Amino acid sequence: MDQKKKKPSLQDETDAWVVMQIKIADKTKGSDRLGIGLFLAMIAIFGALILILPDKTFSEQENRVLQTAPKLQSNFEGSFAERVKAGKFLDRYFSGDFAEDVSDYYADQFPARDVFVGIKGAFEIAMLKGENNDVVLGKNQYLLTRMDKAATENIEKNFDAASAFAAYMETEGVPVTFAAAGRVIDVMRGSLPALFPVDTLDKPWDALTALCETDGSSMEMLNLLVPLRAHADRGEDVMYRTDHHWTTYGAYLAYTEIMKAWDVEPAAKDAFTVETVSNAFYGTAWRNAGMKWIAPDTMEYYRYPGDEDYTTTIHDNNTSFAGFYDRSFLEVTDQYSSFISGNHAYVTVERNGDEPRERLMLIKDSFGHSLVPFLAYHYDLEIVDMRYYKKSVAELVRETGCSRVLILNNMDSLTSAASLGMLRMGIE
Amino acid sequence: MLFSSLEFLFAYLPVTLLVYFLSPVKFRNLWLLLVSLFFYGWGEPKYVFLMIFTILFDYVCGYFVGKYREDKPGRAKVILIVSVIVNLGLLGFFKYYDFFAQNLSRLPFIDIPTLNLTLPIGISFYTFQIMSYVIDVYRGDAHVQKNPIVVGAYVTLFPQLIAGPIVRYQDVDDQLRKRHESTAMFAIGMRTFVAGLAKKVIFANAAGALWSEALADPNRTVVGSWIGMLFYCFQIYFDFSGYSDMAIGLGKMFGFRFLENFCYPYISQSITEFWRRWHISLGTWFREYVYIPLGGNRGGKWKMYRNLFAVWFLTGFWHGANWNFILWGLYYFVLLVVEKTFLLEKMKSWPAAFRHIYTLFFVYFGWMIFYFENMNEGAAYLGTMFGVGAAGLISMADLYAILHRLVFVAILVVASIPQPRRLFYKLYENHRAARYAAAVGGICVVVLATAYLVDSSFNPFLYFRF
Repeated sequence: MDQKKKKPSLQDETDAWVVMQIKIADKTKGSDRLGIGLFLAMIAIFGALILILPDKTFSEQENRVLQTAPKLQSNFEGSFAERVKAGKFLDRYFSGDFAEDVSDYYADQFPARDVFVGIKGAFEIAMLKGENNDVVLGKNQYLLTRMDKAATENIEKNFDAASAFAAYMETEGVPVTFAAAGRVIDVMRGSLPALFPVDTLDKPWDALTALCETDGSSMEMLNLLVPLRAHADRGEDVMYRTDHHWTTYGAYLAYTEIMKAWDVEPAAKDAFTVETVSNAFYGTAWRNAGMKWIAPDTMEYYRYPGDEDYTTTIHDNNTSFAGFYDRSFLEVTDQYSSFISGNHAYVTVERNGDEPRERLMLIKDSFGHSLVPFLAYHYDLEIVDMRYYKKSVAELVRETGCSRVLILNNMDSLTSAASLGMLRMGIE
Repeated sequence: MLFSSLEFLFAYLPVTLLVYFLSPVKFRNLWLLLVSLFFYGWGEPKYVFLMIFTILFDYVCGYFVGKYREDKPGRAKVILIVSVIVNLGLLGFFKYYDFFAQNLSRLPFIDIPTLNLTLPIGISFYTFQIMSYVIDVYRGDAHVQKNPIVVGAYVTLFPQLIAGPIVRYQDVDDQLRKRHESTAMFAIGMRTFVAGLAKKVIFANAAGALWSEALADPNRTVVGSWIGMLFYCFQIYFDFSGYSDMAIGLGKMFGFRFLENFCYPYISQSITEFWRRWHISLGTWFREYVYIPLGGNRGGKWKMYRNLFAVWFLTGFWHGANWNFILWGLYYFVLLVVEKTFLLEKMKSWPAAFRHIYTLFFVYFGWMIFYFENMNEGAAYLGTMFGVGAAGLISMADLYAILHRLVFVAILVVASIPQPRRLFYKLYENHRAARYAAAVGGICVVVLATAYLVDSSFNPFLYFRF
């Protein structure tokens, strides 16, 4: 084509970079080759590694099944002709499912995935954003998961259900205590960076206080945030730096508050021997944060004489073990689950032998797990988790002969779902 | 398939490059056609057949237009018109059918059912592109292409297939026949591609996430609303110019020279200038194939206004089958007419900073019209910007957000203006060390972009639906 048309001047301006590069092309051979070599090596090597390396099927860190090699067509028994006839020939390709799986596959199986996640986290912090993936980098290496979007309507639903449950239990002579624990970001407010919008964090607590003030049932209220925050402000390790739970020491403090509320003398701290069971606990916040330089937490068990003469029974799968701890979890990422072996719908913890003890119904989220060894000091425990237990708790209280009920949740559980609603089952 | 996806970067691209450079020159266009069709059909293969039909249809039209244009111009013109009608008909059917059905159904006694078709990806872009082939042949601006593979490769060329830039046939006519791939050209293209990747993955996605956050915030304040919209302005620029850079860069790696599509639009000192710097290939297309054929500015003031109106109505409507896009086009029509009639003259005496603020102000509100397809939502957002329904003037959350995004915004600003890049070009031109640093820096950017892709699930392409 003839080149008679003159390009507009603006095009020359945008093209200046290209024109200059072409002009000096003779001088740039070395650096061009280096750049091209690095680029091609990167896309080729990682491209090949994804295909060569064996697929991982499960991510322990994220606790989910990973995408493995995608399939072009669905399973079909029969000859090729029958397959075509049934519309199953490359059906997953044509429907787009294959493309979606490929996308997941590359994200899930990417070589050195953790390293890349760490690079992103480091870059976000280097840009002074102060957070990554909703995890704020607080003072003293605290990782604080943001919870600003917590809605208050679930609190009301949860609270009302608990209140109705308590009113029903009162007719049976069983007292009910409703205890609310703080999220890490609530307790560790002192570690938040300057100007952090704490007003949004107060909202669910204000809503809960308002509900307590107008509640007509005899349910006893216990705010565990205030006392724990007071200890945290004194520099005590009440919450894990890398996880969303309280430390065993934090659980101990909560235990003393609960006991005081029930007029029972809590065991003194020196009644326990502190055993350090892990120096390498990387919690949930750490896994999301991508801030790989943050040191791991230490995990402790508060041991006391005779604490192995207990039996923990997991009714979900009819297994049981001695004591409160399943130490196999200390070998994996999810070490917090070593307390009563993690999340289950229904668990019983009893002291061995025939001596009768008072029985407590503990309705809890995972904050309750590390509290169990302390409560078991005084009570045999029936433990249910309303996220999984789908039967009548009132019934269970009657059947097992519990004389007291403790409903213990952290604010995240109270705001994120209305799972306590199931307490209404069997009381109306 | 998206450029900014792991499967593109680590599977599609290496395989495509490897086979391309290993094949003999005569097979390279065929390979490009095949991989481009695969690219196009990824995730939604059914429209590949529509694409193949379009290619064959326009190949035949182009062939006969070329054959008759000297001897029987009347016949050539009829074929041209048929080709334009069919192409626009397909675009109109897939993109605008539901819009017309809905709006006509508002009239009494009319009830047209909607079809809810999924829009074939990139149809707005490739339709304009293939129309330029037949038109250029008719006008004598390009030769007839006897090889259907080459016509197919031109239309489907995966770098610009989905979101432009809209390449006119006359600009790549020669390159389709014979192009010169070289190490230097490959390196230039690679650098442009990497820059575009960073714009998209590191800047646009993060800005977009902040915009979504502002939109979803039930306690949005006045200041929060203004800042949120600002992030949308950044998102749309880095998203779209990033995509264009990736396309242009990939093109160069295969030896094509596409024209630039963006030229620092946010430094513009008038709306007229903004539209010379924003989406240049679309502006060029409308000028060459609509404005000038309608008579341009010849034939008097009123004709010129009419032609401008047509161009800006169509520009708006091209961006989407919705009233807000039409409104957005007409908003610019009014601004441009005002500038043309007197304001540009008058502005010459304004201080540069003032001209700049004036331009950005109207561009900013332009993006607001552009974003909100639902006018009620748009009005509600506009409301909070001026205190109606807002949770106060400024909140603690705003202060925290501002403090922690200062560096990010500074980076975005630096990436939007030419001065830092000019400095880099100077260093690059004159210092060997700078060139080696750029080579190593380039791979660091790829690693960083990969890290963002591996970590993130927020990766939309704004211009995908057009």
